[in-house]
Amino acid sequence: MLIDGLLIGGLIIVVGIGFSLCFGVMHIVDFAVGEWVMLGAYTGFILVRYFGHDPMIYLPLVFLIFCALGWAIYPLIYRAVSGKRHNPVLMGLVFTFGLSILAKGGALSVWGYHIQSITTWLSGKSLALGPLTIPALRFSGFLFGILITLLLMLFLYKTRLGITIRATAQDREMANLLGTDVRKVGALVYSLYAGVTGMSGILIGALFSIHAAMGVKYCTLAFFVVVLAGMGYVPGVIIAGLILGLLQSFVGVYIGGRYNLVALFMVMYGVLLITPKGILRRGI
Amino acid sequence: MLEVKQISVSYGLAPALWEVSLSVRDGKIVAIVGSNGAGKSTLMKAISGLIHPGEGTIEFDQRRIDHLPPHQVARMGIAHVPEGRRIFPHLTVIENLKMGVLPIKGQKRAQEILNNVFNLFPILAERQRQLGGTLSGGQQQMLAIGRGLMSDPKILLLDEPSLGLAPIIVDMVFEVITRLNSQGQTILLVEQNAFLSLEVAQYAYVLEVGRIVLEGEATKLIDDPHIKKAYLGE
Ligand SMILES: Nc1ncnc2c1ncn2[C@@H]1O[C@H](COP(=O)(O)OP(=O)(O)O)[C@@H](O)[C@H]1O
Ligand SMILES: [Mg+2]
Repeated sequence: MLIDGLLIGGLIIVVGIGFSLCFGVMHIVDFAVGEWVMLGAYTGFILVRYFGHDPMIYLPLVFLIFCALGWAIYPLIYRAVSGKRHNPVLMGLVFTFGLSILAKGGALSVWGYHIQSITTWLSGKSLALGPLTIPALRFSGFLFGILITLLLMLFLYKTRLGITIRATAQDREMANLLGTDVRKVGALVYSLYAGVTGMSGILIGALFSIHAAMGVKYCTLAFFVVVLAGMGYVPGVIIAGLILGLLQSFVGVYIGGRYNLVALFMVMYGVLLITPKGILRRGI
Repeated sequence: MLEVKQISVSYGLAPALWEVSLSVRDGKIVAIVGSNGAGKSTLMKAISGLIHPGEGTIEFDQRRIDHLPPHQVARMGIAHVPEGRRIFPHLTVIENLKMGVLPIKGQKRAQEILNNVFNLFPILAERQRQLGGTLSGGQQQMLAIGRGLMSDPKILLLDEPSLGLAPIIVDMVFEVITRLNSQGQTILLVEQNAFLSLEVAQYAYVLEVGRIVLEGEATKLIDDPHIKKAYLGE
């Protein structure tokens, strides 16, 4: 069960990092984060249905498709949060909330209420690890999470562009004064985030099931991750993702799966009451 | 080189600058003195594009820059080292410095400038891997100036570089300012510390509640009775 929780944590981390970076760099709280997951899952589902093959090989393609989508949508979001609006963060929230409802409604009218699923060659297989047996799909989801997280960290900490992204998240105005086109940095981050989140959708769809409303859960989880980690702090997101994964499977096993969200909310309220800035609150 | 002509700036309905004009010639240090709230930082922000004046124009190398966003102003050769240093706290010293390099400059030139910055501030070379947020106030000010220099600017805007620093460090910062100027660096210096800035500057403006009330050669302003009374505490 412990292992189970850690395994799910890997995927939560990936979704959480992008979400948290978006806030750090652009001050956008993206309510549509779960819908990126949902659309990614459906895209994987469609690709498999029409072109066959294993869904895993579509990961890079879905990444690119969602990068492009994110890039295309970013100017709209930017308009919503910039200019002379009084409360840009709220505007961003309202705007992405609208996007999320649109995406959900669209998915519902195209695919209806049917619950779909993606099967891969890993489904149903399991790995024996000493005394433990681990479902192979879950394990690959975890590996995927770790790999993407490592790549993102390498990018953010070791490349000039990554350093620019972190600097912009720490002090947007100062980065701008040093010659950084902060709007472009925002477009890049949003696009990267959409790509990574959409791509995770395939694995999440394969692990659980696909339906129009599946995003809510991931939106909630992403919010919880940043509440725990503080907005924009990558190492915090990793720890928070693991904690949430553990909490989820713990509640699932000992209390019952339907109390999952209740338990998460209680923990979040607890954290907010005790430390308003998140338990791991630090910079980027 | 830099010509500010009759600019007026307001924050919402509250005016902060009225018809302010000033000019900075190549190779000079020009100081702006004035007490807290006079509008000095606002003037710097208008030059670097953080705010746009409601009226008037700003020209740099004969080109209008008053409508440009900050990153374009920076790329034209204006480096604004803002009040409060604004170090990226979770980047290392060397990463902070690298953020100052403009994408358009070559690698080789960047290395030369880095060496020059380390020459001016040896402490930064020693602490390259330390996080910016963990430096002392004086070290952060050196880092802020160094980061501004990394863009190889035609003009350096320094907003209150002595604020909150111990006297020895203030002396050191002003020594560096003089040294930079002797290497040909043009500087626009904003200070509450009128005495120090008038000592290093060649020309100065006095700003009071949003208006330029006095200007002239720095050596003459030091002896001006009004200045003596209001800013030098005599
Ligand atoms: N962001 C802002 N919003 C509203 N008013 C401001 C803002 N920044 C400065 N002011 C006002 O503009 C005036 C000039 O401020 P500033 O340029 O910071 O002065 P100085 O740098 O000379 O101390 C002050 O009255 C200040 O209260
Ligand atoms: Mg000021």
